[in-house]
Amino acid sequence: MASPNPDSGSTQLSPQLIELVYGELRALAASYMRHQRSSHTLQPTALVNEAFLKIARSNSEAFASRSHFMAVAATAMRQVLINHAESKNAEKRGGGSRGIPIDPGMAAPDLGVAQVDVLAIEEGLRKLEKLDERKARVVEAKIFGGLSHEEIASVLGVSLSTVEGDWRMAKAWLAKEMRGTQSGE
Amino acid sequence: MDEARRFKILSELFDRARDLARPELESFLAEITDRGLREELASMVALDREGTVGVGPIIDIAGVFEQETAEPEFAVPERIGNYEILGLIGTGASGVVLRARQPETDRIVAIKVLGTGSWNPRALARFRREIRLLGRLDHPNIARIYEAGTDGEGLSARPYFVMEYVSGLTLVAWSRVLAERGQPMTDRLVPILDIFEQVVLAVGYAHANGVVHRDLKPANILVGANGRAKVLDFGVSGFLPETSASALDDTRIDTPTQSLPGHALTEQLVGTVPYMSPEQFDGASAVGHRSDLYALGVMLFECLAGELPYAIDRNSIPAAAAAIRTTVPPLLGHVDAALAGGIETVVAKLLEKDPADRYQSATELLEDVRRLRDGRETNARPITGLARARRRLRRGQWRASVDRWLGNRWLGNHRLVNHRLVGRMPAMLVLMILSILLVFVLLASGLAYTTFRWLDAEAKLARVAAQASETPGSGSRADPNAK
Repeated sequence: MASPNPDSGSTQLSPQLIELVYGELRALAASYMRHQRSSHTLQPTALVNEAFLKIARSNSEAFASRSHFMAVAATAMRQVLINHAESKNAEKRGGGSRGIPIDPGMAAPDLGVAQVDVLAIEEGLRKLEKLDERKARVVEAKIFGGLSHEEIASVLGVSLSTVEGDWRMAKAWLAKEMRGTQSGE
Repeated sequence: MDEARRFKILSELFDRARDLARPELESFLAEITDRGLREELASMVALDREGTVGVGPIIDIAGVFEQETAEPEFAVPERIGNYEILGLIGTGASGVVLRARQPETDRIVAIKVLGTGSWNPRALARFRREIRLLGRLDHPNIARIYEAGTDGEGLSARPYFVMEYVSGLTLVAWSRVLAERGQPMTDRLVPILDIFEQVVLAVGYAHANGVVHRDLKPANILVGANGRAKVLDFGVSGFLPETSASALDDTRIDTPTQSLPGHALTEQLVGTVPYMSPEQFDGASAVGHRSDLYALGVMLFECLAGELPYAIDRNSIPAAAAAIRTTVPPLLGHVDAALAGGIETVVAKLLEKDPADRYQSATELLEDVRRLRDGRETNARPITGLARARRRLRRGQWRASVDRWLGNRWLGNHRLVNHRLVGRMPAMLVLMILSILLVFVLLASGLAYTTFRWLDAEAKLARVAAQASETPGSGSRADPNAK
């Protein structure tokens, strides 16, 4: 064979697995929206936890640990949101996608509800993935999965302070990247 | 300086600068000679202090799902490019497949069109990847691509590609027809193996060209009336890492985007799940060419036995995942006594949970498929009950329990446990006990020997003392200074 050990190196999550969780998340969200309708908020963490409970009910061994599942779900959630934002953008070119409210964090400036521009985040995140895979994983789990620092530390097998440092640095870097592209255009 | 290295330096500088008081920060920054790095760091520290607006955990996604309405159905056009559209063949993961005719040549072709509802950059990238990938593969058992293009302009532009139209039955349907003819298993075996040989050749060819299919299932393998098998739909396949970097521009095996209208995703998955390998459910392991071999094993089992190797609950993905990861498939011989022997061993080897226990390449598998067909003995050896039990203990319960224990207690992440090492743990324990025993034996024998020498020496001393007291003259000889 041309490639002696083709398995090595491709340790990323199986696309099918992410599609599976993606499907679960979408179905759950859809049924949630059908029953709750209007003005309720829907937290990604709530959705991810719901999906986990559903899966854990039918089989506790389906996923090795809760945090591992949460990380997979964060990736799937990222897909859900990116796809949504992209299709919105394709629909009304240049109309600008409506932001998704985020947790403003410690220093909330007086701007009303802070919002995230999912596509700008995605662009920065893809760049970050190439520069520092671990920081990108931290950001993904934090922004899209709403995982706690402890959960992220356990998924990535690093210390809590590493996660905190990664998050703080990556956040500042992403903010700088996003501001850079905005002022550049 | 390479980008990742530069980022690492930036990251280290940030960690040192982030909590410095203003004057210290000024002098810290002043010491950085690289202007770009200094400015980047300065703006990051500033953003960190004033609050990183726009970057934070998402707290509400209700708005995303509010507008989730039924997306428009795909309207079958009359023409695409120069082709007359004859009808819809089916909907796939990345669009629709149409049957069409090229008027000039009267040739019937299949056209895959990216659905307008799924028009987003990622779906497009994936679609283009499939085109490039197919362009790379030229094999009699892989549906050939003829051309690619875009139909229409602007917003209604639809990328499409034209490929060989394959008429035939899906692999499993074909084997069912064979079974319904009422031929005994022994007569059916050779035709099935003939088809499988072609499929293995195609899959092996793809692997040799750096392509893993990753979605092999009966719907993707067609058997024509001429007895030729064709592998289709490389929509979720990926390039193997080694070849990807050199051969193509955007090479990342990125996650394919689900982009079907409505809820077709679930229907798609229903047909996919039973053929997914255990490692595909386990984010930790690599999904590679041996996952394709597993899928072939499931299909071979299904073709021969008329049923899947294990019952899959099609309504519950987690339950299906658990079954695939833990249930040991029955031996074919237990389903149909005519299938005991070589074929049973080959299928069992393909269905091994651990890719390391399967055939390691399509070439290896091809050899055994040919041997089976020719009635020769296969290279695969049946695994005896004892070996299987030992392996299960080593890889199964033992590993799972260590995983759980280590995973929960220390690491919280099963991926960090080195399975090879854990697998050898019983052997290592035995070795340790043996070496401890050996040390004990050595110590004990040393002690015994010393005791023996001690007693011997004492006895000698006693003898000498006794001699000395019997002959007093000898004392003066022993100590000349005494006088």
